[in-house]
Amino acid sequence: MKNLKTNLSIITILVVFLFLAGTMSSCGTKSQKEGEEQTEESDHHEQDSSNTEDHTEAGHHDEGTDESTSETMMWMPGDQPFTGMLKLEQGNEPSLTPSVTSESDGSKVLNLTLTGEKVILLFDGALENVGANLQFKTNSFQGEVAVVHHYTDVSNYDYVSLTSSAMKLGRVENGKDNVMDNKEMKMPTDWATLTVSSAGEHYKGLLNEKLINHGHAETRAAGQVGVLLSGKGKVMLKMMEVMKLTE
Amino acid sequence: MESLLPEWAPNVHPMLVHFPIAVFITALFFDFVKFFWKKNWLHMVVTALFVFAALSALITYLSGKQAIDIVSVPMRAELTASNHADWGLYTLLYFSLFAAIRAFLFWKELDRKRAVAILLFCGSLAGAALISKTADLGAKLVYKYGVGVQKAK
Repeated sequence: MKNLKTNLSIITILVVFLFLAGTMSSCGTKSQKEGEEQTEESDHHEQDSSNTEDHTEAGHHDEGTDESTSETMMWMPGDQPFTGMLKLEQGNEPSLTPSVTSESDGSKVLNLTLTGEKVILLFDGALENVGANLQFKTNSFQGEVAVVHHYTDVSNYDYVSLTSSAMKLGRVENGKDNVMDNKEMKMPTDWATLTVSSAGEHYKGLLNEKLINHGHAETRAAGQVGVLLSGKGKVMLKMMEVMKLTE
Repeated sequence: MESLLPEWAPNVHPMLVHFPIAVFITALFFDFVKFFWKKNWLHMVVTALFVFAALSALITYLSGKQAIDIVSVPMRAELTASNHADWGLYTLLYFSLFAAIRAFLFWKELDRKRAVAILLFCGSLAGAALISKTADLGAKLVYKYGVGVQKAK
């Protein structure tokens, strides 16, 4: 009985000690994290202000509306085609008969007419964990509209693509197409937003903010992000946003 | 199943997440207690708690797999969601293996040996670290990015 009492006393002291230690370390961690977050926030403000300066300088050039911070890049068409940060990587510019028009709301649209060739437009810079939104519309178009990422060359990239019959998530490796997920889907007739996220080994494809594809694959080396178009007909691009994903 | 959920709940996952945490931490606590309070029934309770923790981790993991395709995850939270899913899987695999080992050692009455008990306790601490990391990422999804949270009306 005495032995039991001694053991219970030890346990009680231990529990109280662990509770106190846990409480103190928890409070300490929180205040330390709060401090770190404040520092991070001030860093972001500094970065934002420096980016605003950069953007003002870029405004002197006729490059459309490009916005860039350390974590996001946004492209919208300028007065002239292919002058912004989304650059034509593959495709014959004259045969695409590119033009920039304005919508009723004042936003500009890049119009491309495809005649069966493959067209690739890319942002500069390589990203590993990435998310991207593409706002687009098609007209009498038969083919594929895709957001590509981890692009290193025309035979190596990941993608989410939309055709007149399906939306799929996949990886092209040494020219071989490995489909991670494929769902039946019709090409939208109005403006639509095609979204892709690549976070670690998890890949998602969304259409108008609705999750359509979810797949998994091994991580691969960082690569460029952009748009891939192939087929025949007219494709209109209004906006593309690329985001570096962090925890 | 969904009709049983309260109106405010986005899915069943938030209802279940606390079970493996609480059960595993309780098991860890009694795993430590039995160094001082050597009772046969305590060995059985601890083993049962670790098995129950593994079962609840399995159910929680499956509910999480279902939840990730239902809830709206903001783009900037995708990497946290991805890491949460990965650590959830590592935790489930570890808990399952650990529970199986503990059940086997209990059956063979090898967990009474002091050296084995110390090793098992170290294994329990590793499990606690795993679930702590998974829970931290899950909490970040909710409290930092607002995943599964409704706006106040």
